[in-house]
Amino acid sequence: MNIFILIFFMTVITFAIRAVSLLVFSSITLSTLTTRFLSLVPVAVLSSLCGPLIFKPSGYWSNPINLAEFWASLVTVLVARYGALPAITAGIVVYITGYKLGF
Amino acid sequence: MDTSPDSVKAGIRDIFPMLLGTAPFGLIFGSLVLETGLGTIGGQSFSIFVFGGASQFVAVNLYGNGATIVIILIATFFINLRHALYGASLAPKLETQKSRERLLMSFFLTDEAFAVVSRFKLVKSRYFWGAAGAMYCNWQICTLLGIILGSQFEFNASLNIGFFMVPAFLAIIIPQMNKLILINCGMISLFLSLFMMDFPYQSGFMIAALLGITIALIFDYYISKVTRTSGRR
Repeated sequence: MNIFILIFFMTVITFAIRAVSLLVFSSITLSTLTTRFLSLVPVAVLSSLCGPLIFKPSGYWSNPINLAEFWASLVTVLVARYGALPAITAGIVVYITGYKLGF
Repeated sequence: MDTSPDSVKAGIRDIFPMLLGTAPFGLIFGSLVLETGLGTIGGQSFSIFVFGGASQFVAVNLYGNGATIVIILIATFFINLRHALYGASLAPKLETQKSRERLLMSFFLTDEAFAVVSRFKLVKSRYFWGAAGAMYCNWQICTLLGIILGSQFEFNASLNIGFFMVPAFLAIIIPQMNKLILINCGMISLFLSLFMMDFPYQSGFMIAALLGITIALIFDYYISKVTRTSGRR
């Protein structure tokens, strides 16, 4: 298989998925329900991406109290009101500390 | 937040924490490229043209295992399908940009760029290009470093590298969750994703998000209906 043919088709697919939805939804007038639906997309998608990484980091269920990921996320949520950078820093520091402590 | 700042610098500043989170992925991808025999140009071309993060990893792994081009392309399609939601969600926020610019913007629409710009009701071009451009440059540099330094990067396997993005995503979505419907939506999507994480080609994330939104909207509809009914009494 020629790698550059693969790269070409992957580029087309990735770009098409992103571009078509952006252009289609730019050109139509959206109903109130659709607008509300789309306004929830960021929170929904980012929450679903985070879920397994926080509660099932090894791919299976375990007690969250024993997970460095859980404590780091909790600290991030609590510090989030003081700004993104302090929250991210605190979350990563807690995660690495928890990891070093054997969580 | 209503309108994003009209500044490249603000975009770079806001995405900066994400750059730190994605750097290990770029480095690992670069070193993975060498292991699968794609070569420097092939590996870097992946990052330059595809710019797809997770889909790049899956494609390189499948390529290394001898999968056919059709299988790799199907995987790419499903992994990137959630970006259709990003495009749809972002479209109303880019109403001041021309179609040609929006088309170009869609190429740079990654998880991280979307997380940063989606906080605003209206996104200014400079802000988008600052955030998305910084993300793109960071990904290229990290891929190249991974290719050059290769096996010198030894990440501890038990350290969950994927988690480094979580504090960044949480720090962005938590301040947005200021209404009951948003809290419900986030909690339901997160909960459902735990049961759908093993779905093929990461499709579970998108299904969990779609179901989360739908359930939150239905819940909100009934709450407002009950509130209206009790208000009339």
